[in-house]
Amino acid sequence: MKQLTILSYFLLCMLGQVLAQSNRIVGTVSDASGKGIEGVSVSVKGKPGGVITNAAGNYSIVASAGDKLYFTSVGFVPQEQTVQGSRLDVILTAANTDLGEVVVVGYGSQRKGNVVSAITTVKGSELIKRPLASTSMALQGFAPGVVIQQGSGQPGADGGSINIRGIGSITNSSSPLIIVDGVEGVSMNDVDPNVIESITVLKDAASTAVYGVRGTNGVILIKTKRGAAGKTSVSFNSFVSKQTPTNFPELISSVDHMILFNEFRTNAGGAPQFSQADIDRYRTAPVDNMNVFNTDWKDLIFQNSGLMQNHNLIVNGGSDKVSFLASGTYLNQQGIVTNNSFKKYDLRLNGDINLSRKVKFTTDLFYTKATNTQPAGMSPNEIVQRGISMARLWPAKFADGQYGDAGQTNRINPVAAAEASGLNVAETPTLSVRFALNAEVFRNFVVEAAYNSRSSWTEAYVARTAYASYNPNPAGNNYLFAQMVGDSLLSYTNNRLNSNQYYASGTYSFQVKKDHQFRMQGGFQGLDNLITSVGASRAGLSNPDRPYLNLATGTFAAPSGSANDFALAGFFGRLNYNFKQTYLLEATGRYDGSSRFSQLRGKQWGFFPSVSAGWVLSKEKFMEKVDFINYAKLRVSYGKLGNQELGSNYPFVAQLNAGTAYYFNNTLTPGSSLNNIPNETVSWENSAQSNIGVDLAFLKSKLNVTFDIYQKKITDMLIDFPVANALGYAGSSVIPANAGSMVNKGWEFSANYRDKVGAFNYSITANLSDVRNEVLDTKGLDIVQGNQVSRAGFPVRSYQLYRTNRLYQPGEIFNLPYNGTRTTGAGDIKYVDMDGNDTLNAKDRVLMGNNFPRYDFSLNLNADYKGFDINIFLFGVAKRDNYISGVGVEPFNAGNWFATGLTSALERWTPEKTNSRYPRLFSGGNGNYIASDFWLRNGAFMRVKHITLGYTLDKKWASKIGVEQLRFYVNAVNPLTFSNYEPGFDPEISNTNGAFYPIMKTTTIGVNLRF
Amino acid sequence: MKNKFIFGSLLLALVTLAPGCKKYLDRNPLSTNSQADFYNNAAQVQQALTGVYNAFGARVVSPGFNNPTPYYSKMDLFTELGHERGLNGTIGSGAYNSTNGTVSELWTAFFQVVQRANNLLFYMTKAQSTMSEAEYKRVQAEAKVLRALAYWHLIQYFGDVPFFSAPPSTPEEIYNFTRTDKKVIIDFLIEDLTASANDLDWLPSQFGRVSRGVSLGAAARLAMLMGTNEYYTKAADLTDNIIANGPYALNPVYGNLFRKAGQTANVGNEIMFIYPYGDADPGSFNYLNLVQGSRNQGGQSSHFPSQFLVDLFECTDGKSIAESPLYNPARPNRNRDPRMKQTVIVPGDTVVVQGFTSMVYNINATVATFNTTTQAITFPSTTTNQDSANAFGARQNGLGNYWRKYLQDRDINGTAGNFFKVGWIYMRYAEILLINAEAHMEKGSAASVVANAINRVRARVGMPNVDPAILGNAQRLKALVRREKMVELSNEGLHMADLRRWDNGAYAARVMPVQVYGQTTSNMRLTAGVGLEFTAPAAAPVFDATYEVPIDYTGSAARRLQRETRIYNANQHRLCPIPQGELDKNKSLTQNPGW
Repeated sequence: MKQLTILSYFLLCMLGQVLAQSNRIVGTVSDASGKGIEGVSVSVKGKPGGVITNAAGNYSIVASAGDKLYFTSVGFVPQEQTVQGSRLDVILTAANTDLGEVVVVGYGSQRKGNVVSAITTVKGSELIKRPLASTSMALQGFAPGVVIQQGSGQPGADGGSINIRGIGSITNSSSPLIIVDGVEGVSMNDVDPNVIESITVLKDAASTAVYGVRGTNGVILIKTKRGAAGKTSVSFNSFVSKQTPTNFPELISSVDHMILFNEFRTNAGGAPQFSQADIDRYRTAPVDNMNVFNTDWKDLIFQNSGLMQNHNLIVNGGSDKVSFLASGTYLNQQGIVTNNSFKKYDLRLNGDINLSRKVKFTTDLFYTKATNTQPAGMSPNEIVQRGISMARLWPAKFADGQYGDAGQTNRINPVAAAEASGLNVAETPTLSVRFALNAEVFRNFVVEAAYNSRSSWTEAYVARTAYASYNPNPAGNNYLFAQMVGDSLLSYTNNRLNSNQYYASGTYSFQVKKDHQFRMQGGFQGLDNLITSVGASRAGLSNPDRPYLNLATGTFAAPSGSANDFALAGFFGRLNYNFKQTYLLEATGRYDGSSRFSQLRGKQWGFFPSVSAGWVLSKEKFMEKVDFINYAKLRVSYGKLGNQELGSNYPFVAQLNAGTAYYFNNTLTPGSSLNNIPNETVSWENSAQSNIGVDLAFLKSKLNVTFDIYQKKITDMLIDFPVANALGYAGSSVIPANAGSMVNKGWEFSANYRDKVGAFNYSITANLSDVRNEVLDTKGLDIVQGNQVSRAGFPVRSYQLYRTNRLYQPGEIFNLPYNGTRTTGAGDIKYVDMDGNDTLNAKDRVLMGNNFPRYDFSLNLNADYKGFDINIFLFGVAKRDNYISGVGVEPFNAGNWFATGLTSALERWTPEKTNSRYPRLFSGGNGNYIASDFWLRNGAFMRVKHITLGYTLDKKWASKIGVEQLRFYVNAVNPLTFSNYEPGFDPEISNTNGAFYPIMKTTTIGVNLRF
Repeated sequence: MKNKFIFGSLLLALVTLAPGCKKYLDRNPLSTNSQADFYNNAAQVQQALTGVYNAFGARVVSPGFNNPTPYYSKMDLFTELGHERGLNGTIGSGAYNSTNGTVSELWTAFFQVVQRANNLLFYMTKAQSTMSEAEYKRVQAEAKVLRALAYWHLIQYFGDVPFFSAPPSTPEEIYNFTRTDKKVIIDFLIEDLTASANDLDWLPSQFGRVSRGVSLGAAARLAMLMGTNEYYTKAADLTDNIIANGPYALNPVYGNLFRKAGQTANVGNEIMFIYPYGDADPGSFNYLNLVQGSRNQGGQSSHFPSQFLVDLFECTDGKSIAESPLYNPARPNRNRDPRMKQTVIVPGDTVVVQGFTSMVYNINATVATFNTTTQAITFPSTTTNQDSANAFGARQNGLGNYWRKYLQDRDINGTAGNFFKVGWIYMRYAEILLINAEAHMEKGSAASVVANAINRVRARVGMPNVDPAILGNAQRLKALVRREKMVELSNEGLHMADLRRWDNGAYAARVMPVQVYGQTTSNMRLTAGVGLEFTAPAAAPVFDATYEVPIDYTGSAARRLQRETRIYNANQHRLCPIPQGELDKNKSLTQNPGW
C-alpha cells in the first residue's frame, strides 16, 4: 500500500523533530473560561521561530529570563508577557468576534478565523428553540445553500429532505453525508436535538474533499454535548405540543355533490344520477345518518389527538480525570390520523477519561428505540387521500359505531381502515458504541484511533383484521350487516444492520520561523455495513393483539430473506499553512476506495484533492485606516469529489435471477439466469466544485456578513443507456454508464447583526441563497421520472407538460383532438399545438418550470429583555413551481373508488360562469387532467415558521428554590403562511396527488430547568 | 514509554489493516448469485440450463393477461389458418407497423433464449473438470438445440437477424451489431446441431427435455427455411436419419396428443419435445381454454380457426369438399377427415361444459342442450347462446368456428375450469414425417418415398392412402403434401415458416390478401334422426386450381359470416418488420423491405 508507506515515512520524520532543549519555558494558554486554546502561536520577541500550543493549550519554548514572549491567535487579542522563572501561564481575551470559536471540520476542528472553506455552523442552543420531533426540520433556514424540504407531517416521517447546493445527481442520491460524532450512517432524525452541541454544514470541495467518494453532496457534521470538569449539573427540558394541519382542503357538501355530480354526468351526455326530489330532500331534511348524510370525513379521520410530548433529562459533570454527559429523552408524537403515532426513546452516554495528561479515552454510547405505528389496512397518506375525496352523502360510521359502506363497491371506508383494520407496527432499536483514543505521542503530534460498532434492527409486523360494514335500514330504523371487509393476515419482517467503522489519524503542528504555521494530518478510515432481512406472512390471525406467527392458522406465504453489504476505505491527508495568520492555505486529499465498483477493472479506488486559500485583508496595513470594516477575509477553493451512492451495492455485478424454474419429469427444477447486462466499468459520479467567499465584519463586529458564490459541476453522471432487446435481457435492456453532466451555480448570503440597548439584547440573522441548475449533457437521452424530465439545456427534473391557453369558450372551434380521441367542448382546457400539426400528442409537450426551490430566504429575530426572550423565524421560497394532480384537482375521479370534489370544484366552468379557474365537469375527464401547465402552481411561499416567547426566572428568585435556571416558553410552529398556492394545500409539499399527510401547525408550551 | 507503546501499536494496527484493504473492498452480492461466481459445478450448470428452458417455455399471451398461456398458440393466427378476435393491428391482418407489440415480444422473447444459452455455453467451461464428460456434453447439446429453435423462430419471422454465438462483450458488439445473412446462421446451427446431436439420447433423459431427435429435427426445420434443393436434401437426410434410427412412432389415437393423460403416456414416443406443466402444483397451468374456449364454456374466445382451415379438411373418401359427394353443406361436420373433429368445433358439434350441463354448439341465439344419458337434444332452450349473442363470441366475430385442439380435456374433465395442464407440443414425430415427405418431394425423390411418409400420417387417423392418380402428378402431390402438413399440424404454431416459404412467397400472395369469410349464417334446425343442420346452407367454396385450397367464397358470400380483407403486400409482408425500438437503439440495424 503506497499510501501506508507515505504515511509511515511521514510519521517517522516527525519523530526526528524531537530534540532536547535547555532553558525551557513551559505554560498553558487558556481562554476566559479556563479552557486551553490550541494553536496559539508563541514566539520570543525579536527572535525567529516559535512554537504553537497543543490541544490542551500547553506550550514549551526556549527562552531566557527577561525575554518577551508574544502570544497570538485568531479571534483573540494578542498579548506580550515577560519571562520570569520557568513557567508562564497566559489568559487570552477573546476579540469581539466569534473568530476564536472552534468549529468542527472533517476529521478535526479548526478555529473559525482559520477556516478557508464554505462552512456554516449552527449551535444546538439555536436548534432547541424549535420544539420539533425531527432534527432535520430544526435545521431548516439556518444554513444558506442548504435546502430542506418537508414532504409530510406524519409522525416519524416528518423530517425534511436535505440538498446542499442544489441537486447533485439525476438518478442517484443527492443527499449529504451525515456524521454524528464520527459515526456515519446515523439518520439525522435519530439524533435527539436536546444533546446537539453544534451542527456544521460543509458545503464546498475544500471542506468535503477529505470525504472523497461521499463528498459531492456536502457533509453535515453533528457534534453532541460532552461533560466538563466541575460542578455536576442536571437539566430538564420538556415540552408539550398540540398539532393541527397547516391547511386542508374542504369537501363540497352532500347537496353540492349531488348537483355537481349530475352536471358531471350530463355534460358528458349521461343521465343525472340524483333526482331533484333527492336533492330537495337533502336540502331540507335534517342530517340523521339514516336517510340523510353529510359525513365530515376530515373530522372522523383526524380523531387522534395530535399531541406531542418530549421530555429530556441531561446530567453532566466530572473531574479532571473523568467527565461524562448522560442524556435521556422520551418523545411521543401522536398523529392526527387515528392509530398513527411515533414514539422514541433516546439514551446517550458520552464519557471522557483522561488516562494521563496526554492520553484521553472517550466512549460514546448511544441507544435509541423508535416505534412507528400506523393502521394496517391503509397508509395514513391513503387515508388522507380518501378523506379529501369521499362524498359526504355516504355513511362512514353509524350511531352505535358500525361502519358504513362509504358508498364504495369495494366497501373500503377510510374511517374503518384507520380505526379497525389492524395495526402496522415497526420497532427499531439502534445501539451504537464508539471507543476513541487520543494521545499526544510527543509534543504537537497527536494520534487518534477510534472504533465504532452500530447495530440496528427493525422488527415490523402488519396485523390486518377484517371489520364489518353495515347498511342503513330506514324501514326498521336500524343498520343491517352487509359484509366483512378486509382479511386477517400477519406479515412479519426483521431487518438487521451491522456497521463497523475504523478510524486512525495523526496530526502534527509546527511553526517555522515565527510566522509560518503548519499543521499536517494523515489518516485512515474504514467502514463496512451488512444488512440482512427475513420475512414471513401467514393468514388467519384471529387475535390481532397477539401478532405472532404461531397464532395464525393459515398457510405460510413463501418466506423471504436477503443480505447486502458494502465497504469503504480511504486514506486522507490535510495540510494547513498560514503566514502571519493573514495568508491561509489548505490542501486536502483522499485516496478513497469503495466496494461498490469492480475490483477486476480497477474501478474501486480514486483520488480526490482540494485546495483552498484565504487572505485576511483586515490584517493588512492598508486596511488599518478603514475603520468601519473590522474584519475581512477572502476565500477561494477548488476540489474534486465523488458520489458513490448509486442505489445498488453491486452495480458492477451481473446478478442471476434464481426464479427461472422449469418442470422436468413433473418436478419443479430450480433455474438461474442472467437478469441484467454485466457492466463492470460503472464507477462513481464525479464533481468539480469551486467557491469564492468573503467574510466581513462591520460596525465594531456587530454586523457580520458572509457571501459565497460557487459552481458545482457534476460529471460522469450515471445514465441508463438503452440497448437493443436483441441482446436478450428482456426485463432490463439498459446499461448504466458514467456519461452525463450538469452544473449547479449559486450564491449564498448571510448577515447577522447583534447589539444591545441597555438590558435589551437583540440579533437579526438574514439568509438568502439561490442555485440554478442546468443539465449539460445526457448524450441525447431524456431521463424521465414521471412527468419530470432531465434534458440538456434545462434544469434537472423539469416538468414536461402540455402548454395550455386557458379554457375554450362557447363559439370557439374545438377541433384540436388529444391523441385523436378527445371531443372538446366549451369549458375544456385549450392545449397549444406546439408543432402545429393539428393534432395533440406527446411531441407537443414542452419542458417548463421545476420543483427545486429558488431564492430560499429566512429571517431570524432574537431579542431578550431582562427575563423575557422572543424568537421569530420567517422562512420562504421566492420561486418554485409545484404540480398538483389526482384528487387535488380532479373532481369525481379517483381511480378505484368513487370520489367527490373539493370546494374548488364550485369554481368550475359553467356556461353561466365562463371566467373560471377550473375546467367544466365532464365524466371521463375529457383530457382535462393530462399533465399540463394548467395544473402547475406557483409554489412560492413565506411562512412564519416559529415564534417563541420565553421567560426566565430571575436568578435571585431561582436560587431561592435551588434552581440555577428556570425558563418557561410558548412556541408556535407554522402559525402563518403567505402563498398563492392551490387552496387547501400546503406549498411545501411537492407534487401532491392528494395522498399526503398534512404538515403540522403546532402550539407548544415548554420548560427548561437546570440545577 | 507508554506513549511510544501506544504509538507503536497504532502503527502496527495500520500496517496490518492496510494490506487487508484490498480484500476488505472486494464484495460481491450476498443473497444472489452473480455471473462471475456461478457455473462452478454440475448443479449450477444445470440450473443455468433450466433457465434456458424457462426462457423458451415461459412465453405468455400478452398484453391483457398475466397468465401462462403459450405464446406459440398465437402463431397460426398470423397465417391463413386462424384469426385473432380483433384482427386490426395484428400480424395476421397485415395492418400493423414496426411498433407492433407482438412483433417486439417475439423478437425479445427468442433473443432471451439465445442470450441465456450463450451465457451458459460461454461460462460453463469453469465447471468442466467437475462434471462427467457425458453430462457436460449433454448440457451443451441441449442448450444448442434451444438456441437453434429460437433462431428458427427468429429467422422465419424476421429473415436475417443479429447472430450471437457467444455473449457480446465489446461496445461494438453491444451497441453496433448488425444483421447476419440467414444462410450463415442456418449453416452454423445445422453444423452445430449435427455435431452435438450424438451427445443426446434418442429419448430425453427427463420428460420435458430435448433429445437427439429434437436436435436433428431442429436442424431439419432450419434447412427447410432455406427452401433450396441443397437444403431440402439436408432436411431429407436429417429426417431419414430420425425415421430410420429413432425410437419414434405415431400415437394411434390422434386426439390423445392434445390431452394431459395422453401426453403423459406418450404412446409411440410421438411427442418429442413439449412444454410440461407440474401436476401437483396448483399454480402451474395454462389459459388455453380462456383464449380458445367458447363463452358458453367460460372461455373468452379470442383465438379462432379460419373457415379456410375448416374447409381444408378432406372428406373421408380422401377428396376435398369441393369434389367429394360425401360433403353436405348443411352438416359440414359429417364424413370429414377425423382430425377435423379433434382440431376445430363447427356448428352442430357437441361440447361438454362445466361438468354438469352439456350442450350442442350451434349458431342460434339460444343454446341447444344435450342430455348425455338420454342422448336427447333440447332445442331451442332458453339459455342465451354466447357464441351467437356475445360481441366476442364466434358469430359476432364473423367466423363461427372454434379451436378444439388442446381443449379436448374439456370433454373428459369438465370441472377443470380455465386451468389446463395440457402441455404445449413443440415437436412431434408427425412433423418429422411430413418434413421428410416435403423435403423428398421438393428435392425430386420418387413419389413412393413421399407417399410412404404421408400415408403413415393419414393411416393413423383412418384416412385413405394417397390416390395413385395424385402420385403421378407432381403439382397435385405438392398440393397434397402441403395440405397434409396444414391439417395435421394446424394450431401448433408451425405454419408461418411454410406459408412464407412455399413457392417463394407466391402461395402466401395467393391465400393471404383475401376477403375473409366465415361459417354459414343461417339458423340450424333439429330434425329427428338427423340432428342439427343449417336451414340455408352455404355452398362449398371454389378451390384454387394450383394449390387446391378453398379460396373463392364469392358464390356463397351472401350466406356467410364476413370479416375484413387481409392486407398482404408481396414485397413487404414476407417478413415482419424489425421492431422500431431496436432500430432506434442500434443505428447499425437495417429494416426489412417495404416497412
